[in-house]
Formats: sequence, structure tokens, C-alpha cells
Amino acid sequence: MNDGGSCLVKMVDLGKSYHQTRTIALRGVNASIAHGEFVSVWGASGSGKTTLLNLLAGLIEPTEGAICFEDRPLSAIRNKSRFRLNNIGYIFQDFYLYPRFTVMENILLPFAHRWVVGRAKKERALQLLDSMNMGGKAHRQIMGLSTGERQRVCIARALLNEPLLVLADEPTGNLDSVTSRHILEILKEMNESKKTTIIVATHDQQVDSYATRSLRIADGSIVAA
Amino acid sequence: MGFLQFVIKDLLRQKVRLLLAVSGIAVALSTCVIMLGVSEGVRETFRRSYKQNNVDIVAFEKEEYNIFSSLVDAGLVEKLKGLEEVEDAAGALFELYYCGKSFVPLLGWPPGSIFFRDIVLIEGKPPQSSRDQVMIGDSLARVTRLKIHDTLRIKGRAFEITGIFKGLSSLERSAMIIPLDTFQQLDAGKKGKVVGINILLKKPFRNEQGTAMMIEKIEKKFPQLTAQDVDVFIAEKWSYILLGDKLSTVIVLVTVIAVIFGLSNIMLTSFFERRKLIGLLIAMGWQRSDVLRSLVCQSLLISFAGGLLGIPLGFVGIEHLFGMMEISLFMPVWNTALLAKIIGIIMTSGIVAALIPSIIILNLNPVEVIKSE
Repeated sequence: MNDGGSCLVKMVDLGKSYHQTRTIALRGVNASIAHGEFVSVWGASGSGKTTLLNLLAGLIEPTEGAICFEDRPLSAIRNKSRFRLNNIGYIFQDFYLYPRFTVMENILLPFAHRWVVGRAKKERALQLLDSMNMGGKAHRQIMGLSTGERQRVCIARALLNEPLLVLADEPTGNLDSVTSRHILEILKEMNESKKTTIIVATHDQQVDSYATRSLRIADGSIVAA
Repeated sequence: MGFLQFVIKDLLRQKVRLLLAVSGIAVALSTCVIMLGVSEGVRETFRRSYKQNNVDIVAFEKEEYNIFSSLVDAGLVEKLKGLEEVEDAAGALFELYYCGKSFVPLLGWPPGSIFFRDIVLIEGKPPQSSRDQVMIGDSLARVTRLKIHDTLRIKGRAFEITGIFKGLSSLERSAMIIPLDTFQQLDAGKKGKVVGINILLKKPFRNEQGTAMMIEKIEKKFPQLTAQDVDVFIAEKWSYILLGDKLSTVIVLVTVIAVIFGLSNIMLTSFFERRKLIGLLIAMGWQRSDVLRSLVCQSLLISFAGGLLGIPLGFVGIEHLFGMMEISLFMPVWNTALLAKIIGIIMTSGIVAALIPSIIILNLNPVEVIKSE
């Protein structure tokens, strides 16, 4: 589905403030991300990186400005859940895996609301595991995996729906440097082979060497691109 | 992994808690089964007592029916028989009499009357008019080990057992039947009286319209009587007198409320334990309705598992309960209507118990719960 070069996401004067805590998480963000880009959003803790990802995923609504996804305003999409299921893959720093479920079951979770998960999805899950050198661990319990393996399961889960956009929030935050490199290599491989657009929020400068572009964010504003 | 597999696997993550919850619900539902079975049994016992004789209308003392104290003039029976629409009619006396083992029904029936039509004689013959003769039900004969020609003392007089019969209802199977006129002699206050009169209509009038017309006609012609359709009579009078229906309804309601509270607590605890993961599911593309569906399914699965254990437990409990009694006036009844009621209770409990967590889910902010500690 990726056509390379054309605009996938456009942010126009994007802002988000939280009235309860009277904090401005983001303000005046203007940026475009094209199909097939690998963008790192770099900034210190509390700079607004996660808020930006949550806005792009449609998990929260902006208080100012707008986001267009493939030229369609995100605010016009009524069923945000289905939008995420079909277009977005989200990788969390803390994995959020179901501990009592197997690797395969965790990967299939986004589609477990369906009475039957099709064979194609299962085959895709196995392919993803193979590509991450975890082919033999599909039926292993999550509890028995290393942190690096757990993060790979998260990546496989995020990529199962062949999303146009993968959002990764501090994917290397809980990993040692060797495992971090491995995870970033997997993301880079997905980006290059499938032209999957990837946005990684991080304060790990190592990510920059894998990204095609970096956005620097400080105090809720983009300071360098 | 499909939806059901997810729901079941997620449910099984706290096996001990699940087992305790299912056991609690099973015990509560077995109580419902027992209460409803007994209540239905009482109703069915009386329904059979009247229906077996094809009774259409019951007539009794104007607005004052009480099986232990109401009395009407027995002469009205012949007058009712004289109506062109009436095929037959008969009056009876009733008393609960202590036979040395338990209280049993003592019935006074006119020999050869409609009451005897559906009685199956196992041995001997029916009692004769004006004689101190008695016919006893097979349950009573079994417990007391009385036989034909044995003597039974009733109200200070010796009665010869002339027959042993099998009645259709457990009430009759534990009963003693003596001739109506003999019963009237035993008690001075009951001379020439009957408790109520059972009326059978001729075929063309044995329908809703015919019965309604006859009720009106009887009440107009005999102002001292109230006439009622037999089904209405059973539902209103007997259940009121015995209080069984109402008592069991109250117990069943209290039990259902306890089940709902218990199950609701379990669902709520389970929900709070998995808040983050539920937030994650929504973030990954599940709709809130999908999460609600999974919650309701889990709640229903727990209550149905409780039902699977509770229904047989109720059967065993009631068999044991009635097995302990030497003479039982009422026997529990199991039928599809009762099963439907229990399934209704199970489904209602399951759905209502999932309501509170469902309301929370509707207002859940996935970002907040994922980030929360």
C-alpha cells in the first residue's frame, strides 16, 4: 500500500493542552511525514513525544490544529478504534503483553475480538516471528521470554495488520544497548523491505542513526527537523 | 485465537478465584432450584387434584374461602346438578389430620361421585356411604404398613380400611378418604355442609366462554356462592393459603440479588486488575463494545458454570430433603418451564453483574490507564 514519497501524515498547528493539570503538552506543531519514512522524534522526558504519538494514533483529541491522515482529517474519522486496527501499529515501551497467553496469542490479540481469527493472520504472525528469529517460540509462554524477545513480540503484534504507520514509544527504553540495536535493526528492516512508515519517540540518540529524519521536540514544540 | 478462546483463557487466569465464584453461584442457584421446584410442586399437586377430575368451576362460600373453615350447604350440590349446562357436581370436606406419623389430608367424598373417577384402586374397594370405612393412599399405606381390613382410628372411631389407592397427586397419595356423610357425623359443625363444590360442565360449555357464562349464572342464581374457574381458583386461593409461592419468590429474589452482587464484585475486581490491558486492547483497535462483549461473555460463562453445578446440586438437595420426610404432601416438580426460569435467572445475573464494569469501560481513557501505575 505504501507508495513512497507522498504525504501520509500532516500536522497543522497541532496543539494539546490538559485543562485539569493546566499543562500545555504540545503547541504549534507543523510537520509532514511521507510514506516510507523512518522518523525519530527525539526529546527529553515530558517534552511531548508520547502526546504526539497518541494524537497521531487517534487515542486523544487535539485541542488546537488538525492532523490529516492520507489527506483525511483524523477528526472526521468516527470509529477511531477501527482506524487504528486498519492503519496503525503501536509499540509500547512497557510491552503490555498478556502474561498468561502464548507468544502467538499475544500477537493475534488485536484481532481477538473476532469470533474467528483467519488463517492468513496466523500465517502472517508466524512469518513475522520467523523474520525476528523467533519462529520456534510461537507457542511459548510470555513469562519465559527475555525482555528483548518480549519487545520483538510487541513489534510483531504491531505489524500484524500490515499498518501504514507504526508508532513506537520508547521501544528501546527498557533494553540494554545490544538488544536495543537488534530491535532498531528489525524496525529498519521493516521500513526498508515493506516501506512501512515508522515514527519512533525516543530520548535514545542511537535511534537517529537508523532514522531517515529526526524531529527534535522541546517543551511541546518542534525545535529542529 | 478467536474471541471465545480469548474470553475463556482470560477467565482462567485466576483459577482458584474462578472456582470459588462458580461454587458460590452454584450453591445459590441450587437454592433457587429447590425453592422453585417445591413451589411448582405445591401448585402442581393442587392443579392435578382438581384437573384429574376434569373440574371446570369451583364454588365456595361467598368471598370467604378458607379450606379449613369455609362451609356451604351441601344441598346446593343437587341444585347445581339440576342446571342444564352442568354434567356433574360434588361437594367435599377436608381436614389435616394427625395420623401418628404426620399430618395427612382427611377427605370426605361422596361415594360414587366424580372425585373417585380418576382414583386408581390398587387393592380392595371404595368406602360405602354411612359406614366407618376408609380408603388410604399408597404412600400412607407404605409408611404406616397398614393393609386392607386393618383398623384405623380417626377422631376416636375405628375405621376399617377397605381399599388402597394410587392418587395422581402426592397430596392424595398420602390421604385418607372416608364417605362424606360419615365425615359430617364426625364433626357436629360440619353436618350437612361441604367446604366447596366442584362442578363439571357439559361438553359444549367446556371452553373459556362457556365457563365465564356459567360463573356468572351460578353467582346470580346462588348469591351465597362465589364461583371461579379452576385455574384461577388454584392460583389465587391455594397459593395464598399456603404462602409457598410468595415465600419461594422472596427467597429466589434475595438469592438472585446475592448472586448479582457477588458476581458483580468478581467482575469489577477482575476488571481493575486488567485495566491496563483493557486500555491496551482499545489502543490496538478493539472497540469499547468489543471489551463490553468480552466482559458480558465472561460474566455469563461464570453464571452458566454455576448453573451447571447448581442445577444438579438442587436436584440432589431436594431429593434428600423429601427423602427425609416419611410422608410428603407435596413433591417437587421439574419441567421445561422451571428450567427456563433457572436459565432466565442465570442470564439475568450474568448480564446485570457485568453492568457496573461496563459503565466504567464506557468512560475509560486508554491513554490514562496505560500510563497509570
